[in-house]
Amino acid sequence: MIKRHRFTLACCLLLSSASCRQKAVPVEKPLLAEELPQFDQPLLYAAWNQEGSWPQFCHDPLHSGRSDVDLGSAEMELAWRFRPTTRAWTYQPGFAVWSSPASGTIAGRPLVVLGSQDRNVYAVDARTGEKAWEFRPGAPVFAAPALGVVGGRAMVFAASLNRSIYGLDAVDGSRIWQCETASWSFTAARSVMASPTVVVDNRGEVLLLAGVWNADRSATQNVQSGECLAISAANGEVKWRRRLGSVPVSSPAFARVHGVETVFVACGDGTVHALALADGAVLWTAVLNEESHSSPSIGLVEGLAQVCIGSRLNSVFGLSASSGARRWRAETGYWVDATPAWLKEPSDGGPRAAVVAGSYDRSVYKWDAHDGTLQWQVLTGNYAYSSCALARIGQTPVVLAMSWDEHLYLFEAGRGQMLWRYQGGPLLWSHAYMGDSLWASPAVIKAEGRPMLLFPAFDGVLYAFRPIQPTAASRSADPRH
Amino acid sequence: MALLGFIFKIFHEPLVPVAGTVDLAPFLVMVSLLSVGAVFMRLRPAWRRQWLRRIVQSVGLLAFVFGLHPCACMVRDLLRGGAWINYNNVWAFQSMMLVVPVLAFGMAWGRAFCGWVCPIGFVQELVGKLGEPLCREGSSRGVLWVRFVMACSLLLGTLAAYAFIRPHNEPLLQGIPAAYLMVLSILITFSVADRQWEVGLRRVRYASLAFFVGGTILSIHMQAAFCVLFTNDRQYTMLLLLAGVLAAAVILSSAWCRFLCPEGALLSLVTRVSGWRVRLEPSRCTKCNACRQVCPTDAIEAGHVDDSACLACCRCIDACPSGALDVEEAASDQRSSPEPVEPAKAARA
Repeated sequence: MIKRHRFTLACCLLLSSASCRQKAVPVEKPLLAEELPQFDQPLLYAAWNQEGSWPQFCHDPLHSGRSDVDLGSAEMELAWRFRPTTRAWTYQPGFAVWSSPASGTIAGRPLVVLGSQDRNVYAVDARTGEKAWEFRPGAPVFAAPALGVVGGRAMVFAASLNRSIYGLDAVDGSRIWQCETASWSFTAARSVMASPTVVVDNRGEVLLLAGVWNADRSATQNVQSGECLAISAANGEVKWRRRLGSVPVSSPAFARVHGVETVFVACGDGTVHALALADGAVLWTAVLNEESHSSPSIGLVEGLAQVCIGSRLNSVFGLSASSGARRWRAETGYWVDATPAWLKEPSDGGPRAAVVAGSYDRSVYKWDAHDGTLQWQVLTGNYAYSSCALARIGQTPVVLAMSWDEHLYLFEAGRGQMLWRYQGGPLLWSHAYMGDSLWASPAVIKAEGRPMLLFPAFDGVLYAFRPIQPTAASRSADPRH
Repeated sequence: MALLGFIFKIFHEPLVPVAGTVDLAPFLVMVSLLSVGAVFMRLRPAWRRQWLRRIVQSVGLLAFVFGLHPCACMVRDLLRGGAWINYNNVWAFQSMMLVVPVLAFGMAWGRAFCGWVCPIGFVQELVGKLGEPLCREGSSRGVLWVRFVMACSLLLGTLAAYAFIRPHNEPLLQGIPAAYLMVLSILITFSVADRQWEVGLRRVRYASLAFFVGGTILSIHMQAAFCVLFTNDRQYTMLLLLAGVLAAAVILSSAWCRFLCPEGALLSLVTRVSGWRVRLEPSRCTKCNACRQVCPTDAIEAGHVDDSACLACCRCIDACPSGALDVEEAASDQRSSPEPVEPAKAARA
């Protein structure tokens, strides 16, 4: 019998062994004691650490996406809407309506800063929704601006498609410096700029970490270069630049791992790199299973630092932050372009880490960060493209996610139960090329001590919501409290 | 909803990674299958050719649907990949690594990809077996009425299903597959109503190709029936289109390939310069119509093989009792005769 079907059996064995192929994970030493606080205080190494702020893409240099803001209630009311222009520029693949927002209190005024398809960077007063200032770099800004305090001066850093990164005065939006990452030529193409990350290194210098991709279609001097740059936030001087490949590069994340200040950055060709902040030297390179449009995020799992990232082969990976070795892979139904957010949930044995991310299979997922076990999957009305923002209501963690069905969703993180949702308007354009753009993500901030949700919607409107604080009677009747 | 979470791909890692994670395996599989198909097409004597074709198709189905994750939308890949050359060569290579061998083999063997490899074509063939009793030439008027009612039902069913799942946003992205299915239902209805319209209706596929090309140039993400199988993309309207294409194959064999497949239309154009084609030797033809009975796209009409509709599956060659059909060099075109083969009158009834 076996002899008769040996060919079939051999095929089955081959297929099963190929699908189950996994590398052994080497034993790792735990992080140093002085490195653990960065995971409890994610803004520890950021150059902006006000309470209730959201100073950059995915909140902090770890890209945890986790704000400590207590919303107080799941019932929201619209605080204001900001619509700078009714004009929609012609859609091109790669375009988005908004960049993800950043927010902080500048000169006593809470501001929300974000880029727009209309080629401006806007600062909006978070109390009223009125425009505080605008900066016009001359090309769309789809990378989330970042905030930082440099030499006592509040600054905004914005990367535009015109190959330049700008350092702006956060008070009035005036330009302090401009760093051109590639020179102009007649054949230079639009660049792809990832959201910059601002960190303070161990000497106290504020550095801007940027992922940029520049192309020049010249036949004789062709350029296709994805690079990670470390730029002095004070004057825009490039400290080092490391070419990582010929495809676009993700937003860099930063953490201190085993005494080394490490920059984690992914490349569109499906590679993840760990670079030394000091000189950009490559510490390790890991290869995923497909191209990746997600950015790495770092969290703590049982004393070990772990990098999480999504790929376009329907996967989210957990990698060792010290070696790049693969710890687990979780499956989704389709692409994961979102940056996984790190959830800390109270449990009997202390806080337990989980990872939350949306997928183009319409679902938002939560996995156990230890082994990638699926904890829940909730379906939205369309592609759940956004990187999630995390906050809490009392002690209950909640997840904010945006979907292509134009909704902003608020989920309870324990079981994925939907608490609230709001529908924005239709897309500015008649269509968009699926997968070419990284769309904006929501944020949770505190403006003058009051929590607020920011929803950069497809219809060209930035919506801000405030929780309706429950009365004492309704609080006692609500089982969540 | 469970369907949306179902992952039917076996491999989750690139088998032959190049340039990071670009998997060369789909390219190697495609070239291998097309080469095997090309050899089998020229087999003399044609020992179990259809049996071997089924094996090649099965391997294609296993590789591209259940194994690998290639994006195989050739028209889109050709346009976007071409635009990326000298701009992002990795993406250009990734986009074009399937379409280039398919077009290259198309220049030699016509629509060999359609007849020997295409998973959608193969699945349609399998499903079409259910409809064979209905689709035979010489079927009674009652059977024709049954097919006509089925085609009308497909149209109405599509409209009803689309009204139910219609997305409230992105009508262009998600409406295109539903629109394709509606047009397919209408074309089938006309084709079943009167077979004489078949040749004219086949030209609609060029409009489909033009629509696909135009949409892609306008940066619209054009999607069709194959995206579900190739890339796991499970848009509701695409799932509807896939189900509709399979249902249509029961009513009219290989209906998608005949009327609307943009890839098929592209290969039909390439067929005009192809080196080898299926040819009929009039002197040997006994006018038995065995070839017409087995042709999945009704490409043989009046003693003439319509190269643009021929899927190069060689079923006609293997069915011909007198050996009047064979794959020959395009230079021997003059041997083809315009003399009509008497069609079964019942089929025109």
